[in-house]
Amino acid sequence: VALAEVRTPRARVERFLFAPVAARPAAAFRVALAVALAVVFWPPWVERPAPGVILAALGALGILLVLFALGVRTRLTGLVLAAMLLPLVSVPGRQKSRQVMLFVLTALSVGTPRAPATGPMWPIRLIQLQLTALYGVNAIAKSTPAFLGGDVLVGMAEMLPNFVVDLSDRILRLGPLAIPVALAAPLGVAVEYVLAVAFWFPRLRWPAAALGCAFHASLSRVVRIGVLDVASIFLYLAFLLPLAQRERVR
Amino acid sequence: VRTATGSVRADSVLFAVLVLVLVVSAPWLRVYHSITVVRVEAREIGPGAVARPLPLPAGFRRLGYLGDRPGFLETLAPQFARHTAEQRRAGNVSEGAAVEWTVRWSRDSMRLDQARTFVFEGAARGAR
Repeated sequence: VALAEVRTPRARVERFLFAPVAARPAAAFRVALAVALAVVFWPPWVERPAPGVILAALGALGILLVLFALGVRTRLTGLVLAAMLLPLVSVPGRQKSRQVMLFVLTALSVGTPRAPATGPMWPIRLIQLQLTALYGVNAIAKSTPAFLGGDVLVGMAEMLPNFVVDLSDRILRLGPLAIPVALAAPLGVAVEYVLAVAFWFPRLRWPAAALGCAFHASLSRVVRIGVLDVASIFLYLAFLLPLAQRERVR
Repeated sequence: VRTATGSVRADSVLFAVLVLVLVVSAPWLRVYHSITVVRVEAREIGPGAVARPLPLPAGFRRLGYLGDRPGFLETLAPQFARHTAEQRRAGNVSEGAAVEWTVRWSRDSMRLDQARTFVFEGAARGAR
């Protein structure tokens, strides 16, 4: 009877969203998030010498990050951190990475119980959905004949200063590989579609993570996208860490 | 069942609100919108309509992201005028010669099938 109950759609949804999070992987994820937040919100935008009030705010952010990483009143420190970081999202340079990380911080903080107990899985599901949104939105945006034909990549390499390759002969050179742009463009879009979907299948998670790391390593030799690589790869942890507590079978 | 607020219903509402935030903010994660490919050429038109290419400043070789900005020509024209005047002052343009700037562009393609020419006459400046 118990097995039948678990198989009902309602029970599946309940398990998907409200299963308890495993404490140790959750703590590891929180520490990784604090590090990723420090990287993505690192303040090269602060004028030097910085005014005292800015230094004080940075000091407060640093202390809150450490408290958050240590799990000291996680919900409160996380929400205060999110409120302090929110105005920085629009500072030019790393807006997309900051948007991703701020959403992760907010979801995790809101979904942490006030009492010192392990929380539900739904904040982790939100972070997983963020990964799908990040790759999915970009894959869909690039699914146009112009992009898939390679013209857009050639044009971007000609126009944009953050492109570090010359594609004027329509060949993308990556180490010993020489790939026609008309092949590289649809291949890149296909990889983004795969990464948007594959992590949801447990057996495909590690291959998808390897594919994603290879994709971002290749991408960094074509175009500089700041720390969006870091933010994207950080999100893989929401799938790779054993965050869902295993049920004991009696 | 484990909850953050103590109530499955309240947790479900929070989850739904954050999903909505995620969906609404997802378009801002786009790294590619469209690209306007622009090429600029400058020529000196001397007596007898003899044309001589003029070297371009680096800023005109890679103009950056002009994606969805329709009025990029209007921002380029004053730069052409300024650069032409500087070249005349520096003596890099022959006395009385006109300077012709040609902008060719296309959006999301390398066809560069649209063009506009700006001519700065030797005596009086103007655009054609």
